[in-house]
Amino acid sequence: MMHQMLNKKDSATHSTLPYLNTSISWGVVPTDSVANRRGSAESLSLKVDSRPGHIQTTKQISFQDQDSSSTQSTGQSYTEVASSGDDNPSRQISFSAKSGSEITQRKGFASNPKQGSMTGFPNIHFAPAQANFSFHYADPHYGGLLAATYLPQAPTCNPQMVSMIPGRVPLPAELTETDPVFVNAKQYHAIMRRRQQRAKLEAQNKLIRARKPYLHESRHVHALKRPRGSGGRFLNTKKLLQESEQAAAREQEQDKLGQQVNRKTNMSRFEAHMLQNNKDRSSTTSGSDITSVSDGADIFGHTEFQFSGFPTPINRAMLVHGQSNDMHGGGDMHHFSVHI
Amino acid sequence: MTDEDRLLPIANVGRLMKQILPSNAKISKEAKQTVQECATEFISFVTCEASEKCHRENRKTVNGDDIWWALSTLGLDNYADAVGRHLHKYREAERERTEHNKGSNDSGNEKETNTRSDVQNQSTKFIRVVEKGSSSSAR
Repeated sequence: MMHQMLNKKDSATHSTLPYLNTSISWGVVPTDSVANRRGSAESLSLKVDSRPGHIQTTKQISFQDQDSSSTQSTGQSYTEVASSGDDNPSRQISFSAKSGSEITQRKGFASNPKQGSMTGFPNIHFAPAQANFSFHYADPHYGGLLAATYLPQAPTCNPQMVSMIPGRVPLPAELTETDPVFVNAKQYHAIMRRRQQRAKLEAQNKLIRARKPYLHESRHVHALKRPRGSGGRFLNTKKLLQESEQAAAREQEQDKLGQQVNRKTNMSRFEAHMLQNNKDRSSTTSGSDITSVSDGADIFGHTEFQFSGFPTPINRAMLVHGQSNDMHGGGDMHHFSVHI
Repeated sequence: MTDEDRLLPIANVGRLMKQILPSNAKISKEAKQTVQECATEFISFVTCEASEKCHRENRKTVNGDDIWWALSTLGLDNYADAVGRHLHKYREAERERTEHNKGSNDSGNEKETNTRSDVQNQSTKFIRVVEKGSSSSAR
């Protein structure tokens, strides 16, 4: 239940990606990123104690394994887009939630304890943790860029065949600084000629030394503009239409049936509360009563704020934020009160 | 000369590498790049020998026979045998197509067909050479 709702939230947030390209910021200093990574690791290690977190860890691990194998088999490389909200705290909260989920998916390549710590994040919302995650999310891409730029270009070795004929000719040690390399006598002249051609090309600076990440600028820009679903893969036309229809349906439902939406939210919160914390019935009832009152005020406040002059995609993001807040707020009474 | 620094498409190289390996194997990007460079250099090595022969004989077109001759001259006998058999099969298919076109009595269509099959032959030959290289490395 929780996992499915999280996935829906992630897909909804991802659908708004093309509109958020303008707020991309890659200016992350490596030292700061390292410090933030350590801080986030320490903070995360403290949050992997509850049982529901462990259950989610198991599910997440299985999902990540499949995703990693499929991505490697296809050999594609996805362009990672990160956005850090600057002005609006509620917007920042929603973005950090999305980045947390993506970090969880990418960390499938890492060891198990990291995965467990990552899955523990969506249950708890704290301002310093969100800030750390916003920085930590930008770091892997930056590291990837560094690795790509500094990737050592191994020189192409000449083909060396084990010759059936006993006579082998030693090559001159001009290019090979180490011991002389013995090659097939038949290939000696061809190798020397080929070396001369390569030297000529290097003199003309026509050999590709540093590999370009892409061949065509226009195709690269097009790939950046394409909408991506959960997990970072491109959406095909059918899924795009489905997501747009779902978003429109959500808006209509919230406009028409406010009370029923409120009731549904309370029920989902009740279930989340039951799943996350195994408490007595009396405490559960009191918790739900208190949260329902504040929840009503919060929803109305968010609704007013949404319609006060923002473009449509940001409204969608706000909707997603509202849902996530309702889901996670019920889990921890003290946290929810502090957040308000 | 401007095309000398071209590399084979890396997606196709990765696909060919995957065909040889078991289904659950994973290939790193660095491995694909290394094989890509090796395959490109091997093709340049063979075609350079063939081109040199054409230059000596004052010819401008490199034929399949020239590639076969280059492979045998360089001591790559296994590749020479494979290319020879493939070239033989291709020419038989070409004769069958020619006879079929002659039966239809359309000379223009015949020329067009020859041109298309010629282009297909080149791409097929390169893919075959790369594939043989991959299989050799797998052994």
